[in-house]
Amino acid sequence: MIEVVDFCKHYRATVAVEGLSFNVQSGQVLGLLGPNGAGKTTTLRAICGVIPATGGAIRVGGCDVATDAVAAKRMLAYVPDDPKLFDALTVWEHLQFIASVYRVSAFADRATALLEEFELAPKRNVLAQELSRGMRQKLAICCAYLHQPRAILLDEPLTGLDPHGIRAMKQSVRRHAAEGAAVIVSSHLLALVEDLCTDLLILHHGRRMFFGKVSDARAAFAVAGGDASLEDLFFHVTEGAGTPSDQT
Amino acid sequence: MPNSLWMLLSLNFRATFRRVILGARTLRGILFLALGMLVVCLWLLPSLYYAGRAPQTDPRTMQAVFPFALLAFCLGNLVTSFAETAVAFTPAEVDFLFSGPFSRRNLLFYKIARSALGTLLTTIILAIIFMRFSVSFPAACVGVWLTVQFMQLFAMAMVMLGQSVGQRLYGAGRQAIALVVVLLGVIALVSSRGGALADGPARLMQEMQSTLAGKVLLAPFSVFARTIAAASLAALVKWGALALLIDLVMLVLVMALDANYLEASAAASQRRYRRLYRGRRGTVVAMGATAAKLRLPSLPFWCGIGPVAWRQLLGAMRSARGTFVMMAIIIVGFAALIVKHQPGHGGAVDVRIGAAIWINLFFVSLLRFDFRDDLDRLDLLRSLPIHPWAVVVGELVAPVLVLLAVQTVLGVAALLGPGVHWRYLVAAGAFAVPFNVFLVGVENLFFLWFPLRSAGLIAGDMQLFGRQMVLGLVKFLIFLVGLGLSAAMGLIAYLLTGRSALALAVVMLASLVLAAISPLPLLARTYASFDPSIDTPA
Repeated sequence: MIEVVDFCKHYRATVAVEGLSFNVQSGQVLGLLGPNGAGKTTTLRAICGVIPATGGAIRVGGCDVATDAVAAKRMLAYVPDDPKLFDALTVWEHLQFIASVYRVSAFADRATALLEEFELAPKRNVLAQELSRGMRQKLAICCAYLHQPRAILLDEPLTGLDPHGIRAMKQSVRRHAAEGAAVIVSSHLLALVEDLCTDLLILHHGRRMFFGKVSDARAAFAVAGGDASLEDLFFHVTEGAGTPSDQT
Repeated sequence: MPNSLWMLLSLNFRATFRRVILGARTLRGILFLALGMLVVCLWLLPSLYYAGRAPQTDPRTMQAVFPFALLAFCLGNLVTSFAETAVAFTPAEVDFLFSGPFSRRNLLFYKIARSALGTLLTTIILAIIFMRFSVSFPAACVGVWLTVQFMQLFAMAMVMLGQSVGQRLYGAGRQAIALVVVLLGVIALVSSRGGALADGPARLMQEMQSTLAGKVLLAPFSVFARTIAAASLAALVKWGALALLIDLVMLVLVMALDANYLEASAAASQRRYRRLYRGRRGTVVAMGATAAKLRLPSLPFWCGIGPVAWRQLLGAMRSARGTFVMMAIIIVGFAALIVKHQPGHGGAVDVRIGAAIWINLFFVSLLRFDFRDDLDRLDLLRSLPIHPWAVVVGELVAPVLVLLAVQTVLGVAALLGPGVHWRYLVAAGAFAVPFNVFLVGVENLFFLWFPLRSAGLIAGDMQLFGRQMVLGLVKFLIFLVGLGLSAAMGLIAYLLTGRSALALAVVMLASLVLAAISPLPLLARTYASFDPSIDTPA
């Protein structure tokens, strides 16, 4: 569903991402890990067409993001780490707007269900500028799910969420994956990645350090006899000791 | 005040200069800096000219008017919540200093010291402007600086007082004080000679000051006026010392009150930076909860134009209060122009045409229901499955329509004056939409080429100021070329068709439509290649 081939992003002399290749199939949940500045957000923003790639190819559902952007974006949903909402619009109008953009007819039932799921129903007619940080995040998630995307990109999705929101978020990711969506979750919360993700992509200085099944990661790096935690593995990879024994 | 706060002051001070120096590392930066300084110099030149060559305005005029201006400021602080900005800190100061090992007085003193240092440049500029009313530049500098400090301390004292006595008592107290001030003002007005009004407002103010009520009311404020207008060193020392004493009394009052202002200050800081944040995105007016009740039916999809235009139109509608206020101010100014330039006094219609063009240019820079409002949301817009050209057209709909509404109101206002026939307005109406598309299109094109947050301008940032001047000039030249070409084409058609007015109008309209749509492909291309990770300013 999501295919990234030799993706590069340069800012003049600075290399943000270099030669990155990976793919995410329907039903997979890929955890995108890496220290600050590793290139995670850059990769997500390039996949959803927000920023142009310097090199390489990115395809979503077979559509090239550079040459067939509209078709690719129609299948995508992206929730940035700090969602910027439209302050003049109410919660419901955000959903109305997204439904209109993605041509979701009879969206009301689905929108209502999403608002219920994320406990935003009482805020339905409230302006976005009056929402708290967590509620803004929830609304961005509701907007992302509204058109039932086939590829979902989540950048630090739990930021600002309360325990109910976190649970709803995790359940929704699992449900969408079970329904056939390809999901990428970028997060510094290793426990979340371990709990939610089927696959793992570790970036460091814009380069791929590991890509594969979570279970394979331990074997690939042969850390502590194969039963190390994801945290051990992360530090092992990003602090220079890690040379993958087998990158898939 | 602890050394660490002095250090923060000095670091902030250095940062201001560093910003200018870093900006001047490139040729472009140096050019913008030079241009910005040139514009400021040109702006101050008339004041310097009047101070040096022209006969000086009677300092008594300043002494008459200035105390009333200060009184109005104090009264404004008393009856509004404007004073709260005096204790507003930056978000970083709230986060780092409020939780730091500093007493409330430490922070107050830091705030006062920062303000005192920060107003030095403003003082010099204001002193140059006040030189027309002042005998010497040092007197103007000293007087203006002490006045600015008084204004800052007075506003702070109001907040402190409010926190000390409780909001309810403070609310009642300030109403009582405002009432006493107004009463004294009325008594002074009645006691002054009735004939003074005929000699002009300055004369009336002088008369009011000479009454007992006026003296009581304005005594502290006239000290500052006399400092600015001091004619000799002895007078400067005398009035300056008195003004300084008033400032020190205010300082002691602020420090003595030392109320637990931190919570109010944090709230005020938050409100202030929310306003700034809105300003950064170009939103003029905050929308209240009632704004959510205004609805607009969804527009058809129209290749994606509909949803984008609907969103911007809804935003425009909900912040219409600000638009109406601006429109009212502009119409009042426009009406004043019409009254001043009656036919027979020369060029009434010409003045109105000139004013109309300037109003349009001014208004289009204020209406920000387009890309200029979406700088922080370009990520979202670019991730939507809508073609760039559709996004561009959708973004332009709201400002074009709002501008059209403003033009309609101005047109009706112009009809009320003499010398304008309704036929001219109907003809102008036919050109309005392509004209607006042209204006808004060029404005947005330049915005995407050189994006800038409206609140990105800070005092003393000459490069940015120079850059804005250059961009404004280039945009104006493009407008002139576009409109000039349309007029020229129309004129050619007019001459070729044996002076047919219809041919003139049709060709001019067609040329204007062409000029209007010509920036759109470029705008779509610029939007499509806009890289938020590089092109979005901080």
